[in-house]
Amino acid sequence: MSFRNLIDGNLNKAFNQVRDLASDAVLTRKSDPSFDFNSGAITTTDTTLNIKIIAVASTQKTEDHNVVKKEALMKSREIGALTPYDTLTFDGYEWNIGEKMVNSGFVFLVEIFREA
Amino acid sequence: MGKYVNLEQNIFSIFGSSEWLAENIKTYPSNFIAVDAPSEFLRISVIPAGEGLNLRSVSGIMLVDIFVPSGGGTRRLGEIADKLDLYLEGQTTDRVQFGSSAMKISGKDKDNPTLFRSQYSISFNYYGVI
Repeated sequence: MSFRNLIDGNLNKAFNQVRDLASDAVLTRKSDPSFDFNSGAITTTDTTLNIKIIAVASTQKTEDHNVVKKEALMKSREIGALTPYDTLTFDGYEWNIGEKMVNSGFVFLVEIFREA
Repeated sequence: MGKYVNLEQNIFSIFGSSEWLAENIKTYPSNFIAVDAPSEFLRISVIPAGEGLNLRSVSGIMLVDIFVPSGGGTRRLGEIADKLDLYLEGQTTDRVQFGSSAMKISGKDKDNPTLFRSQYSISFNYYGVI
């Protein structure tokens, strides 16, 4: 028996059992970013992926400007790799993925940001 | 375009040239997050923080963070700085004149201790036409 498959299976069950605490989201992946010094432009290869996320914490900070930060859980296996160029769309907003991404091997815990 | 974009284009054109690309040293601008970067690369920051000769001119400093693998001594840092000097020190592009360079050894990178870094700096003047 594969313990990895067992854990991933239970993780899928958990994401389903929390029902509306999990949100449908669209992950826009911007792969292979490269910079052209002649044009000054960044190029990426964009693809989208429908995923489920669980937003576990939210903070709003208004010291200098108004920013909302959330921490979101996502299943690693359905995502693969994340980069800070990827964006997440859910609850009617587009969120930028922050620099801090913790991957347990099964679940990503990432910080996501948007200006409010 | 104004002086800041022109300045950046002037400097960036050096790193987009076929000669620099042939050096095969991965080079990125600041505020670009490289994915799968090699263990040797450069990061360029242009800081136009000084006054120029006229309203369309500006002076400043360019910083190049040099990253190499940890544990290999400092020779490679010097070799890369020498290469940068060939393209920059005392050189003039269309509107940018570079001055003399310096390099400060910064030690191990705080995010990735398998990398060792130094900071190469060089002054410049950008001349705009009124």
